[in-house]
Amino acid sequence: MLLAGLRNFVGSTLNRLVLAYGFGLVLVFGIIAAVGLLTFDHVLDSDTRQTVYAEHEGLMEIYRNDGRNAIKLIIDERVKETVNREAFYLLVDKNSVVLAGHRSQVPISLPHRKGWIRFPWNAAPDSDEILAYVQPLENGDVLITGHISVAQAHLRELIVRLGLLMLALLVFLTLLFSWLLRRAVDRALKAPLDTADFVAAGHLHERVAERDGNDSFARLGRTLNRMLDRIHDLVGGIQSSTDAIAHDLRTPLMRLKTRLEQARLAAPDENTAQSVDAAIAEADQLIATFNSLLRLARIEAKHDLPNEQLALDRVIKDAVEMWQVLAEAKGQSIEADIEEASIFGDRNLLFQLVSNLLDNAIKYAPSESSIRVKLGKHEHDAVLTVSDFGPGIELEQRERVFDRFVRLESHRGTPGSGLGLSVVRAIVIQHGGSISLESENPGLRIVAKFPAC
Amino acid sequence: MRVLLVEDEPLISEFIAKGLREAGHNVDHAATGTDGLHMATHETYDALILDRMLPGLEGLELLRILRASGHRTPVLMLSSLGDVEQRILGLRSGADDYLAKPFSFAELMARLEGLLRRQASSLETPMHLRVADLEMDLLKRSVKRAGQTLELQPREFRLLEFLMRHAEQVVTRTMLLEAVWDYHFDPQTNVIDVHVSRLRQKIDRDLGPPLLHTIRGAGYLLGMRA
Repeated sequence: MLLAGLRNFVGSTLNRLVLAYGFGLVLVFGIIAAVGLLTFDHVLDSDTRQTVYAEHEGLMEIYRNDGRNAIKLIIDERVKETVNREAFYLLVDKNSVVLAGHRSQVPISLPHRKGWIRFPWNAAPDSDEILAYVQPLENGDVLITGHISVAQAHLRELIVRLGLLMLALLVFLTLLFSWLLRRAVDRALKAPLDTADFVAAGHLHERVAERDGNDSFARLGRTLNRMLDRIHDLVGGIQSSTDAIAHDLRTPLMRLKTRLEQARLAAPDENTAQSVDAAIAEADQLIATFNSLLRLARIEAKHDLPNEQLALDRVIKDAVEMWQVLAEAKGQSIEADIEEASIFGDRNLLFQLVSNLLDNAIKYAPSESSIRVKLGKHEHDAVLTVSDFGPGIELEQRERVFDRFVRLESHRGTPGSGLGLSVVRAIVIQHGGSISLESENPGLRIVAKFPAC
Repeated sequence: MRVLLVEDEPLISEFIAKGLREAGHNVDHAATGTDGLHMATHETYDALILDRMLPGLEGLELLRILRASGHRTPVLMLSSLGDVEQRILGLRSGADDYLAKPFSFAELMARLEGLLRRQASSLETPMHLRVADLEMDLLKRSVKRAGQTLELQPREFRLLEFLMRHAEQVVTRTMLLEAVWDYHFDPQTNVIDVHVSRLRQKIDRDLGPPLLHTIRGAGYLLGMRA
């Protein structure tokens, strides 16, 4: 759950960008803070070191001039003093026996050469630290002069705390910024996205409300609108040229048909009459194909979704009732399992769609087989499924059968214009739906989905 | 019966006029919309056959003017704009029926007769239909042939009702589709024929002379034929 949410969050380009930015910011801050801390430490340290070293040199001076006992006395004296509680002294002999100083035992293992050491003041976990200078003397004794770096430790702690606080603030600000940026971008993109969705659903008249200014978002809106205007013009062009072609072809077809009918009436003998009848039948076939093609072009050029709410189950039941008799004449049966479903649609086009599917199924399924028609709901869709036990369609052919005039080799000899499925797909798309062909093993299953209302 | 034909295409208007005259009607012809409007408003006709694309005055406009001035003459509109929306537009403008080009003369004739019949029978809606010895009682929803009750499915009943209301008259497949099934669509296959032949089996089988006839190139006719 959390992981999925995180993946979701990181999956967004915008979030990735903001996260990368935030991470970069924290990294840079971390480096600066670390360098600053080290520098600060160093400066403070060198201060302490100077003090300690001066003290140490003073003791060494006494040692060199007056010997071991002299510093022993001085150290004893200083340990008793309460003024300078932050100083630390220890003098041990070569067997690590304490001769004088703040401790009765050596608190750490001592180095054999002179140099700086650090060790805790006592065993408490938050004990102050001592920074000390160790110097082995000629007789094997070791003199340790140090100073509590209490202020220093506190300061360092304060700085680290401050750094962590800043870091937390930075993370918080990054998240806040991320949220604000996301909201701003979402708001700026909402109008173009909503419009694009609306247009994709078929409302080609929709336009983006344009923003002032010249930023990318304002330009996006304007560009989208220009593109939509252009699409609108193109679609309009297709529509008016379809109308022109329809008119220009219908008139000569009408004349052809009229002349044939005149010839039929004037036919002097039965043979001529039969030939003319055959010609009329051919002309009718031509006209039927022409009409289908025109209807297809008109459906495809229609760019607004139907807004009439209708019961898809009613239309399907009517179609099943109509085609049932044809199936029965072929010895087939139609099994219908129709749930109620409402969609926005055009009842005549939907009836045409179901009819074309049933016509195909009856045409290609063997006699004595059953054809299944199902209407159900899946999520927000009304799903129409028509399955038959015919020869089916091979996978690589499935997209092709939606194209105009495509008739599969195996279907030659059966009557048909090759436009049936093109019309089906055009109608489905016009209704904002989708269609797919699947295998029924054997046979064909056609699944059409429509947004339910 | 007196018919005004407004059509600018000579070949088609001549053919229609000739066919109508042969069927015993009087036909006046106008080749432009303006002439058509003039004749329609100054003479009395039983029906108008009106093309949509006309020189002078467009068919739809002519129809609107005619209807606005109170003329109720039945109008059959012809058009090379044939899809459902154009059809609806035509009907909304006041046409009584709409026929897309190209059509056959038989279809035109069937539509025209249907129009006149509708006009004549619009005042009375009989509850009892009778064609020869075939009887339909619309209240009881029963059908008898030669006194014998026939079992019909609801759709078969509506199909027979339509055929009986248009008895002795050719009805086309498209007319049946629109009136009985109430869908405008292109069946591509002979599905209507199958419905009609099932009905024929029920009303004609062994029950006397056939009443339901197929008219080649046109459609069907219910009635007594010699």
